[in-house]
Amino acid sequence: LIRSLFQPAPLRRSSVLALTERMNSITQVLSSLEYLAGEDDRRRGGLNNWDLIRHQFRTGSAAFDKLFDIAADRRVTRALHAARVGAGLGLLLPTKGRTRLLANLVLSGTSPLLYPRHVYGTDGTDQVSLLVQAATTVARAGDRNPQLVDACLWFISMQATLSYTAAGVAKVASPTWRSGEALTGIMRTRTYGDSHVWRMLRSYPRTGRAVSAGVLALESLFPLVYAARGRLARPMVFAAGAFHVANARVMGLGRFVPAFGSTYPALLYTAGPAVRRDTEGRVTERRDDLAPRLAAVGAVAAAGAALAARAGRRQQVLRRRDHQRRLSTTTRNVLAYRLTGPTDEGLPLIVAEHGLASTAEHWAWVTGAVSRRFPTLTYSRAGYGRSQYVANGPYRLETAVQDLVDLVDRVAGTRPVVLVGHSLGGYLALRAAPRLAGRVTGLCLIDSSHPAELKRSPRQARGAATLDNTLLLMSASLKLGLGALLPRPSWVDDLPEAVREYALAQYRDSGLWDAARREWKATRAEFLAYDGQPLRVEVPLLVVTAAATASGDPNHKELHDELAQQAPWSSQHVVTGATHDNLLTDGTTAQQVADLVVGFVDRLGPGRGAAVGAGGDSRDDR
Amino acid sequence: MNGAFAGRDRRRDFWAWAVGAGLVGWWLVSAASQHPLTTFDRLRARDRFGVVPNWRFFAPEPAQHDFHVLHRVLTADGEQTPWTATSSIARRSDFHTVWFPGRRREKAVFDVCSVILQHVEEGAAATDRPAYHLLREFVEVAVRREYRGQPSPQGFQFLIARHTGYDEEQDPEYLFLSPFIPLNEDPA
Repeated sequence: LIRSLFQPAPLRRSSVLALTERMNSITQVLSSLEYLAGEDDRRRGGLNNWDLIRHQFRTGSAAFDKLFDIAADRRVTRALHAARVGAGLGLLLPTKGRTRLLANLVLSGTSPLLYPRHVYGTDGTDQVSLLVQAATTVARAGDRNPQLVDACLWFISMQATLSYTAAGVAKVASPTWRSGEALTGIMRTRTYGDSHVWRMLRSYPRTGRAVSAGVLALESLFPLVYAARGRLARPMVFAAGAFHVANARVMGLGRFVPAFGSTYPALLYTAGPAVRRDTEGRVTERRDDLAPRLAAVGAVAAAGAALAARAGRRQQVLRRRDHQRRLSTTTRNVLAYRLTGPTDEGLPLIVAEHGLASTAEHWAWVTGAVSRRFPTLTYSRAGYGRSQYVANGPYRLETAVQDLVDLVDRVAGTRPVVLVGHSLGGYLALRAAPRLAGRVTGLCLIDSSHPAELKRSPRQARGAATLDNTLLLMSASLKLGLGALLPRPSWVDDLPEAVREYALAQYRDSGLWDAARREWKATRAEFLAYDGQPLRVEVPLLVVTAAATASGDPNHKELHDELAQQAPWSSQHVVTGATHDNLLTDGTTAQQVADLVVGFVDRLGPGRGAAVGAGGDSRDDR
Repeated sequence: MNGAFAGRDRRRDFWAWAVGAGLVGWWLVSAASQHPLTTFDRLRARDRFGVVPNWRFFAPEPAQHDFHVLHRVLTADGEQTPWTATSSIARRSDFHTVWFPGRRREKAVFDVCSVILQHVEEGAAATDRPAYHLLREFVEVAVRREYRGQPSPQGFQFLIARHTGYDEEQDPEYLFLSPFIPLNEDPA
C-alpha cells in the first residue's frame, strides 16, 4: 500500500479531462444553487445590489458595461444560474462530445459575466472553478488535439501548484503565521472558526503550533509534487485533500473540496511519467510538456526585464537634479540637498525634513509656495534619493539628527533657521533644535511623530507591529526587480508634475525602503524606551495635525496638544480634509500647510533674524 | 497510432502553440499577482472580470475577528432603542460541510465592513463610497422589516464592531459609527 502511494498515478488524458470536468461541475452547481437560494442579497438592502456596485465595474467599454448590466438584471441572473445548474448536471452525466462542449461554454462564459454581480461574498472556489472551467472548455473544444489538451491540463496543475505555494509563501512572510498565533486566532472567530477546535488549540498550544507549521509546510512546499519523478505527488495531493476536508467541517468551507479536488487529476497526470505504456511495454500515450517549458522561458524573460528595469530606476534615482548639491557630514554620510528661493541673508532659512519611507519631493508643493518668500532647503536623509548612507556602526536616530545639524551648520550661514518636519521628520527636527540653539528660531511640526506614540496610541502600536516586516518585504522585493508590480500610487500624480517621475522612481527603488527600515528599527527601539518625560521645546512651535489623525487617532492628537503646551508659544491647527499622507502631497492641503508655515515665520517677527549673530537666545521671540 | 503521434509531436501544430502560449501568459500574470504584500497587485488592479486569482488565502494577515453590524433606532415617538445586531453568524454545523448558502452572505458582510474600515483607515470619507451605501441600505431594510406594521421610526444609526468570537475575555472594539440616518418615508 505504501509503495503504491509513492508511485506516480497512471492516468489517461481523456479520463483526466472528464474527471476534472465532473469535479468542477460539482462546485459550479453548488455555487449557483447557493446564489439561487440567496436572492435577497441582490435586492435593495442586499450587499450585492447592482445599483450601488455597478460603478466599481465600469470597464471603459460601453459594450462590456451593457453586458454586465444585462447579466445583473434579477431575472437574467436567475436564468443564468439555472442554466449553469443545468450545464453542471450535463457534465456530471455521461454525456458526449458537443453536449460537453456546450456545457463547458455555458459555465465558462457566464462566470466572468456574473463575477461583478456577486462581488461581495466571492471566495477562492469561484476563482478555481473559473480557471478550471476555462481550461476544460478549451480542452474540450480541441479534444482531438492531445497537445492542446495537455497544455490545458498543465495550466490547471500549474495554477493549483501556484495556489498552494502562494498561500504558503504569504503565510511564511507573515509574523502572525510564523509565531503560530494565526491558526488559534482564526479558530476563535465565529465566521471561520469552531469553538471546540479553538478550545483545544488553546489548551494544547504546542499541537496548535505543530498543525500551523504543517499547513505552512504543505502549502509552501507544494511544488514538490513534481520532485522525485512524481513519487511525492500522490501523498501531497492526498494531504492537501485531507486538509480541505478538515476545513470543510471546521471552517465551513465545503465548496473548497470539489473546487480544489478538481485540479488533482491534472496534478497527478502532469506529475506522472510523460510516456505511458501498456502492460506489454508499448507506448500508449505521450504527454506534451510545452506549457511548463514556455512558462520557464517566460519567467526567465520576465525576470531579466525586471532586473534591467531595476537598474534603470536606480540610475534615475542617482542622477543629479537641478540645483542639487552634496556635502559630507561628520558621520561620513553624504547628503544631497537643494536650496531654492530668495538669497537675502536677512531672511530665515526654512529647512524641510521628510518623514519615514518618504522623499524630499513630498515637500514640493509646500516648499514651492514657501520659497516665494523665504530661502528653503530640502534634502534627502542618508540612504534616500541621491544621499548616501556610509556611517559605520549600529544606526541610531542620533545619526540622522547629527546629519541635520551638520547640514544646517554648513548651509545656513548667518541666517536664522526654521525647521519644518513631517511625521518622523518632525521628531528629528525636535531633536535637532536644541543642538542648533541660537540658530533655530522656530519649529513647525506637521502631523509629527511623538516618542510616546507607540505606548499611548493603540492605533500607532497596531501599525508598528507589522511595519518592520513590511519594510523588509518591500526592500527585498524591489531588489528582486519587482518594482514594476507596484501600481503608480495616487499621491505621485498629486505632486507637481516636475517631481512626479523622480518621486515614483524612489518609491519603486529598494534604497528608500532600506533607509526606512534602518530608521524604523532605531525609531521603534527609541520610542519604546522613551520614559515619558515632557520634551524640551525652547522655541516657538507651529503644530499642524491632519484632520484624519485628529479624528481617527485622538491619542495622537493629545500628544500634539502636549507638544504645543511645551513651547514658549505655539500655534496649533487641524487641516480639514487631510490625512497623514496626503497632507503634503495634495495640492490644496499642502497650500494650507505652506500658508501656516509662512504665517508662523511672519509671526516670529523681526526677532526671527535677531536671534542669530550675537549669540542670541531664541526665547527673545516670545 | 504511435508513429503518427510521434510525427505530430515533433511538429507541434499551431493551435497547441497558441493555446499553450495564451494559458502560460495567463499563468504568468497570475503568478505575478501573488506577492505577500497586496501593494504589489498592479496587474490585479486592472482585472474587472475576476480572472486574475488571489491565492493568498488567510494570509499574510488572517482575519482573527468577526465583524458585527449593530443598529439602534429613534422610534416614531422619539425613543432611542438599545443597540441590536443587524447581521448574524451561523453556528458551525456538520451540515455546513456540504451545504452552506449563508456563507456567502457572511463573507459579504465581512468584505463590505473591511472595505469601509479600509476607507476610514486611509482617512477618506467612507460615507461617500458604495460600500457604505450598501451597508446603510442593508441596515435600513432590516429596520423597516423590524417595524413593519408599526409607525415608521424617525431614523437609525449603525455601528461596525469587531470581536474575537469565542474568546469572550476580550472586549469588542467599536470601529465605525455611522451618522444618524433619517427615515422619512417608505422607499418607493
